[in-house]
Amino acid sequence: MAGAFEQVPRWVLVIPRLYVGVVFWAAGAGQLAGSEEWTLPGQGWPASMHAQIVAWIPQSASWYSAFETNSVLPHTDVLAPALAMAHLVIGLALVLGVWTRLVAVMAALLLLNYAAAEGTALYGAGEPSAYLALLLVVWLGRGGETLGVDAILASRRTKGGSS
Amino acid sequence: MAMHGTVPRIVALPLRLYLASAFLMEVRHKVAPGKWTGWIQWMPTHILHHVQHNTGLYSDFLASIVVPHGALFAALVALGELGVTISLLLGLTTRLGAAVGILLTMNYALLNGTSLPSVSNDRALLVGFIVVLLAAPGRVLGLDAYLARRWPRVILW
Repeated sequence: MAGAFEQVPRWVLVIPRLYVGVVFWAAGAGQLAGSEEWTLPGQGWPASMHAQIVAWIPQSASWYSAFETNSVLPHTDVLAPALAMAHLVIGLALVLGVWTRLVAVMAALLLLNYAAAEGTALYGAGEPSAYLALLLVVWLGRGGETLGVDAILASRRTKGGSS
Repeated sequence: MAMHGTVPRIVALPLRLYLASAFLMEVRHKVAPGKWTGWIQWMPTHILHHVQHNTGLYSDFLASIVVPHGALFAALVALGELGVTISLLLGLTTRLGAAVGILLTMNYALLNGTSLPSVSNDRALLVGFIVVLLAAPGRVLGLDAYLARRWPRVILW
């Protein structure tokens, strides 16, 4: 374990932070705009999200499918735009590096939901788990404190603490 | 917004172990007993299907180089994935393993051909391998710790 606390530059973590941020932002923007990538032909984002969840239910984790059926599907008109906005805000916050650890946790919660809905294993190469692994590293290493607003917030905290 | 600042190398350890696990889950469908022949037959067919429905530089590369030697490339992909899995699992020549992982996932991303900000596990894995290449987490709970002490100037770990 001698090498465990050897230091590596934090800017390494800017790469996954920016990448995940751009993907979340683009997803939110595409969903709100009703882009081809996120909607079925002739349908808006809420109807497309509804259809996607219905398609996922047979493969969802068994404990999750009841939640989808009873709590998500009846409210997709409200949840779909809220989810798109959440993607947009999370993406923007990750790109700017503001409140990165809190935002990474919020993004991780969404991804855990998608993994349960898709029924994919967290140790496999599926999309939710791959993004979760990147977010975990950003969270552990405080990835917003280099080339991010969190650097300014952290320095203000330090100055406030020392005065 | 300074570029300075460091983090402990152990921060990248979960990513190394995740990538090893993800590749293990994929490669077991290729090299496990009874799977090899099916994989060697399937991959060239899959690539050919892609070439028939796509154009561009990468499709030209696939058509002229990969398709004529489909069985060879299928074997290289499977062995490459196996090598990456072992490298990352043991923390043995981790940077070399990550470089091979970058090569593989870059090809998968080009093959699947989605736009840059689209949701893509290929690109997410590619970014993960870049982080592992830069952070060298094989030196934490890995054989690279010994190799780095013995041969500190070699960049493969």
